[in-house]
Amino acid sequence: MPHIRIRDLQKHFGDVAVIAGLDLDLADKEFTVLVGPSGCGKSTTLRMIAGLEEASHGEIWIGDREVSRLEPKDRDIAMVFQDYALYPHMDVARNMSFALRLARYPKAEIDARIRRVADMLSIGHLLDRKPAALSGGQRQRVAMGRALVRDAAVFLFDEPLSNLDAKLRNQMRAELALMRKRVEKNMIYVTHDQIEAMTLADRIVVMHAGRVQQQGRPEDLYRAPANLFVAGFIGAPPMNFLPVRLDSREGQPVLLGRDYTLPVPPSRMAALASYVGRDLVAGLRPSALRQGKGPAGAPALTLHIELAEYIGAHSVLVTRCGGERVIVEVNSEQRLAGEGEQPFWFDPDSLHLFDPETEAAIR
Amino acid sequence: MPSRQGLNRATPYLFLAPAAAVALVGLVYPMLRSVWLSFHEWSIGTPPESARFVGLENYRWLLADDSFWISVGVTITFATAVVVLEVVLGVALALVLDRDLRGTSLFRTIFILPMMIAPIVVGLIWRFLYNEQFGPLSQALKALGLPGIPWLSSPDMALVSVIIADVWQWTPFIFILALAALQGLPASAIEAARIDGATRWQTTLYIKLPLIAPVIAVAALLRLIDAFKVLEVIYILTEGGPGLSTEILSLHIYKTAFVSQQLGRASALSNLLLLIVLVLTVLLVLARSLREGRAGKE
Ligand SMILES: Nc1ncnc2c1ncn2[C@@H]1O[C@H](COP(=O)(O)OP(=O)(O)OP(=O)(O)O)[C@@H](O)[C@H]1O
Ligand SMILES: [Mg+2]
Repeated sequence: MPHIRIRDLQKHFGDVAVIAGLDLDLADKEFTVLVGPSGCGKSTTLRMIAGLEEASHGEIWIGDREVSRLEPKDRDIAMVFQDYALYPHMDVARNMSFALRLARYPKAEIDARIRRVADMLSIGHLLDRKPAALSGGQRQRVAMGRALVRDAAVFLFDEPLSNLDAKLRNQMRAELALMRKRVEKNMIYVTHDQIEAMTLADRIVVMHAGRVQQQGRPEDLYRAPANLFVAGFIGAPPMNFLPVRLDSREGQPVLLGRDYTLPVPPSRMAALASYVGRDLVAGLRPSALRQGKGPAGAPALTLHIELAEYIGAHSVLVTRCGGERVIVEVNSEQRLAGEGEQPFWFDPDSLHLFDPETEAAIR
Repeated sequence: MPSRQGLNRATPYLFLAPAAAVALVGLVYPMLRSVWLSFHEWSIGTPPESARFVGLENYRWLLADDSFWISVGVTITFATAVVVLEVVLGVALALVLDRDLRGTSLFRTIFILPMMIAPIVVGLIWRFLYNEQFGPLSQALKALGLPGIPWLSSPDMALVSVIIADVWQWTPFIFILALAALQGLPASAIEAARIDGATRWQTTLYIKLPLIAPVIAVAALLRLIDAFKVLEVIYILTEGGPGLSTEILSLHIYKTAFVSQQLGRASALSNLLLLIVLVLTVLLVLARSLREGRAGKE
């Protein structure tokens, strides 16, 4: 079965290394999402897999074929472009059937497929329109349909929802999530949007500065980010980072901040043995902090609430802890009246620790 | 007082008025004058008052004149041949040179030079090239041991030769427009075609050509209109000969006006030429809008 294997893929534009050695292993029928900040090389990676951009170095395997020197048409790939890339002179039906007509599918088969995919994307009533007569969201779906009628080994999506308004985007995301259960195919999906990434992905690949920072299931990335970048990138609002120093107090290791002291989670004692006396970064998710007095022995923080933002089911508290800004997410139901200094607590195991030099997580 | 609404409606015409005035003086007046003249008999050098009204006599005479019909035939043959050849060659070259390879920009520049040469000079260049004793073409044939070609001296060959000269000069026109159109095509649509499994040739046939077709159609129309009016190059190469074999309409008009000095008949001829070009233009515009109408409904 066509799993995808990428080995030491590199791309240089002149002296600039945009992709500096990428290794990926994607299982068959997996929905893989590439995320990362703008300019980190997501599109370039996708275009190299598609064959639209030549790799400077490395291998791309689809199933048991090495494809990195093949023309796009010989790679057995379908792609949804970020800017739709519809054929302006063809109506929707002809846009969608172009690949099938080139491959000389029988007409009845082509019609059946177009009808099925068009129904799935609710664009059945648009089949005889030219792209110029469609709205952005409709074009987006046509672009999607053009890829989905095909029998490709791999489907590539480059930020396919990026140009939609929030409502259409949610609706399309739901359609995609449903669809990906029905069409079990290899999909690689590029997005900036973490909600898309978290909801759609079997596997998320976080890219930054031309390298893979971490890959894995969405919940693994959320629970155990491998480094500071991933910790700050996955999760919204982003993780709070507090500078601390690992010290000993009365024989017990503690994390000393400027105006706060945190206990060391027992599960992390061993890993931290060599860090005594050194600076660390402690990470706490906004949702890990609970207001009030916790159970005995639970680590506590006193936060100075500066602002409470009500955003529906949740409220976001902007607080200060010493010199650091700390964001807290609370359930709006439990929103406590209260300003100024308030006690908060958290589960010791929800504390993340990072080495500030290597930026890697310490576990 | 005009209503606001009325004022708004009149405003666009107000802005168009200066242009309309210029068009009236520069275009409509000469055309009307030419129509007026075609109903008269008048010779160069005599005062306009001496022109004699003859009604449709000039037209009747023309339509009965064999040399007119021969000239129409030559013109249509010439115009069709040059437009077809120029479109095919120009588009083909644009397709070949539409890529970023080393040297293509130099080649493009060299290639559009013929278009920038004054027509008179083009005529002189080709007269030299076609010279049957010492022209380079004849010399080359001789060196290869091949028989000479009567470039300009045989009636059949002469028409071919003037067609070649025109194609040489004006293929670049189609070429640059086609190239500009190709380079303006959405790169992503072409990438999409590659992903959809199209070969280079299929991409050209199904994506690139249909997308640049409107530009090519306009360019071809411009060339067609121009080909009906071409004068200088043929005048210098053949003066319409041998016999009437290359006497296209504009040359026929020129000769009627300045050799036979029959300005009335020349005007009648010009009007007929104008009519032909007008009909062609309308036909092409109609054909295009019809096709678009059908495509829209499809
Ligand atoms: N043709 C090129 N020449 C030079 N640099 C390029 C070229 N194409 C892309 N780059 C650079 O490569 C980097 C990665 O680009 P890429 O389009 O892959 O980013 P991305 O991750 O898709 O970003 P975004 O999320 O904004 O779409 C960018 O810094 C960009 O400036
Ligand atoms: Mg991109």
